[in-house]
Amino acid sequence: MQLRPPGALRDDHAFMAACISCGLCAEVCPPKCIQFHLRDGGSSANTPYIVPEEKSCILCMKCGEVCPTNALEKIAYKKEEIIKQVNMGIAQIDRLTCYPWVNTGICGACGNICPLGKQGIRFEFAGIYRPLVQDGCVGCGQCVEVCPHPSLPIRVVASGMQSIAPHTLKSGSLPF
Amino acid sequence: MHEPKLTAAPTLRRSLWRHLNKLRWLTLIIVFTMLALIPSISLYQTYLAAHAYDLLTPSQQQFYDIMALLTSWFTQHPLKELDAIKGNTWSATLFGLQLSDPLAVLGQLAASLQLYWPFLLSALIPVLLTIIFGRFFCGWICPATLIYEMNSSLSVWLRHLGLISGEQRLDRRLKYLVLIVGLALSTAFGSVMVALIYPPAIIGRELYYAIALGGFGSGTIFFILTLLFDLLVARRGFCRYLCPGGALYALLGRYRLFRIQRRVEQCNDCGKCNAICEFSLQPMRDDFGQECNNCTACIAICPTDALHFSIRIRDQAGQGDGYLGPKYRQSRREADQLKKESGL
Amino acid sequence: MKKTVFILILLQSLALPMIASAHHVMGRPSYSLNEDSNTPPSMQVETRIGDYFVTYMIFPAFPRPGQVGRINLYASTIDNGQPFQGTVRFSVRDDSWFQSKEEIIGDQPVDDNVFRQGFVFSKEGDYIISASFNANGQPYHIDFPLRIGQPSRVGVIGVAVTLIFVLLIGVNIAQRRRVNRAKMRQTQRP
Repeated sequence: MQLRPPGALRDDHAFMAACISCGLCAEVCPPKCIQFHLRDGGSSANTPYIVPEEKSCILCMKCGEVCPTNALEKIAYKKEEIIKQVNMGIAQIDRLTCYPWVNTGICGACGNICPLGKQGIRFEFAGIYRPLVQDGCVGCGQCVEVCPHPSLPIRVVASGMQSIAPHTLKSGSLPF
Repeated sequence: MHEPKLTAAPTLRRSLWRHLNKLRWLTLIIVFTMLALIPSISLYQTYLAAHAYDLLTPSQQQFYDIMALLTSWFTQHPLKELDAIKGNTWSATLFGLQLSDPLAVLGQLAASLQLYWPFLLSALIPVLLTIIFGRFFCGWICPATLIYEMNSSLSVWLRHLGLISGEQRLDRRLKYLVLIVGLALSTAFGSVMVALIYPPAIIGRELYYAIALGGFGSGTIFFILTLLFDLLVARRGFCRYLCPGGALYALLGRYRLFRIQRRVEQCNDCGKCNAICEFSLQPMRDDFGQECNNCTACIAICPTDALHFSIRIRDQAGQGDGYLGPKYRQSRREADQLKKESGL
Repeated sequence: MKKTVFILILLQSLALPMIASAHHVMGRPSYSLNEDSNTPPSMQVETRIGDYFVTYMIFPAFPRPGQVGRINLYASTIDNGQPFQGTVRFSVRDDSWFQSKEEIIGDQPVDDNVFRQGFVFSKEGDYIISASFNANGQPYHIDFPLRIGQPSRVGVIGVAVTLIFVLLIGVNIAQRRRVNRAKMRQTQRP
C-alpha cells in the first residue's frame, strides 16, 4: 500500500496541489523510504509516497522540515506531537494469520519495534503475546517491515481509506 | 584630387567583457554537476545512516568509498552537515536559506489557490535578480541550457553536413500562451502541471530518480522529445517558443537594469553578433528586448568589442550603422563629398 | 581546460544509478544473516492472481553464481486467507528477448504453509522462475524475476541518455570551430 510521508496534508487533493515535486523530502530521508512514481501514477505522478513493506518510515520528521510548500507540515520530533499530528494510516492485524493469534508461536516483533511503544502496539499478555494496535498508532509501518510472517498479517491502512471492509479483518490481504 | 585618407580603426584595448561567456559555461557546468552531486550525496547519507557497509554490494561499496573520499575534504560529520545543500533549481535549501524557482511558486499558487508565505518569500531573491538582470537564469543557471546549447551546435553541424535542412520560425509569443495554459491547467487539475513541461524541474527530478531511485522517469522521455524538436524543427525551439519559465522571466525582466548594448562607435557592421545569437535576436540592430538571456555570445564574438553590458531601462534602439563599418564610412565619404562640393 | 571539462562531463554521464538495499530501523541495522531470523536480507515479490495472493521470497537477496539459495513461496486465497495446500512446480528459464528453454527445478509439497525450493546457479544472469500449481481445477502459472550475480542497472533509457550525452559533448568539443564558422555562413547567406 502507498502512504504519504508523515505530516502530509490530510486532504490528498490539497496535498497534490501543494506538492511541487521538488524531491527535497526524498533527499533528506535517512532510510530512503520515500519513493516517486517514475513512469506511471497518473495524477499523482512525481508525488512522494512510502511503501512500508519495502522500507518503513522512521519518523525522523526531516521531510516536513525541508518541504518548501508545507505540503508536508513541520512536526516536532517529539512523541506527543507525532502521535497527535502524524496520520499516515493505522496498522491492522489479521488475527487468522499472525502467529500468536493462531497459537503457532510467540513473536512480539511488531510491538517491540514500534517507536511509540505501548501507545502504538501493546500486547494482550505478558508484554509479548498477541499484539493489539492502539489509538496512538500513526501508521509509520515499521511493524510491517519487521513482521517475519511471509504474508504480512500486519499492514497499514492508509488514512483516507475511510471504511475498512469487514471481510478484510479476517483475510490475509487487503484490497488496496 | 587627393582624397583624404580615412584613419584606420583606433587600436583597441580588448575589453574583459568577452570572457564572460567562459564564466557562464563554468557556472552552467557547476550547476549541472551539483544537480548530479546532491542526489549522490543524499544516497551516500542513507548508506551512512544504515551503518551496514558490509551488506552493500561491491558496486555500492565502491560508490560509498568514492563519496567518502570526496566529502572528507570539507566535512567531518557527513551525516549531519551534508544536509546543508539539498534540492535542485526548482527548489533548494542552501545552508538554511530556501530558494525556489518563481515558476514553482506561480504554479503552486495556481494549483492550490492558497498562499503559503514562506514559499512565496523563497522566490523573492530570484524574482529580484530577474527584474534587475532579465532572463539570466536561462543563460547562466538553467541545466537544460547546457544541453540545449550543445544540441544547437550539433544541429548546426548536421545542417552543415546536409543531414538536416530547413528551419522553422515560430512565434516567440507562443511560450506566453504555454505559460497561461499551463497555469490554467494547474488550477483545473489541482496539481502543478507546469512542472511536467519545464526542463529545469524535469532535469533536477530525473537526476534524482536516476541516481537515488535507480531509474529514469517519464520526464526524461519528454526532454528527449524537446531535444529532437530543437534538432529537427527549430534551433533552440523550446527555449524560444515553448518554455513557460522563459516566458515568465522574460516578462519579469522586461525593464531590466543590466542589458547588453552596442557601442556604435566601435561597431564595424560585420554581423557576427547577429549570426551567433542563439535566440535569433539582432544585436546589430540594437534589438535585444526581453528575450535576451545574457548569454554574452555576441559580446564574446565581436571582433571590435563593440558590445558590452550597460545600465539602462530600455534598449538604445536605432543607432544605425556602425562607425567602423563600410556603410557608415561610405555615407561619411558621401557627406564629406557633398560638403566639399557645396563649399566650393 | 577543455580536456578536464570533457572528462568531468563524461564521468557524470556514465554514473550508473544504484539503489540502496541496506536495511535499518530507527537508524539501527536490523539485518540478521540467519535466514530464519525476523529480517533476513531477502528479495520479496507479492502478486495477486486469480483467487490467490502469492508471495515469493528469495534468500539470499543477491545470490551469487555457485551460491546455494532458497525460494520461499506462500499462496493463500484472497477471500478467506486459506493457505494453498497442494504441490507447486518450480521451473526456470533465461530472461531474454527470445523464447528460451524452460527447465524444471522441482515439485514441492507444502511444508507448514510454505513451499521451499533450493537452487544453485552456476552462471550469472537474469532468470525467470515460474511457479505453477492447480487449484480448484484452475491452472495457475506465475513468473518471478531472479537475478544471479551483480544487479545490472542500465535500462534502455539509461543507455539512450548516455549516448545522447556522449554525442553532444563529443560533437561540441571536436567540431567547435567548424560549428562557429557554419553559424556565420548560415545566417549571412543571402
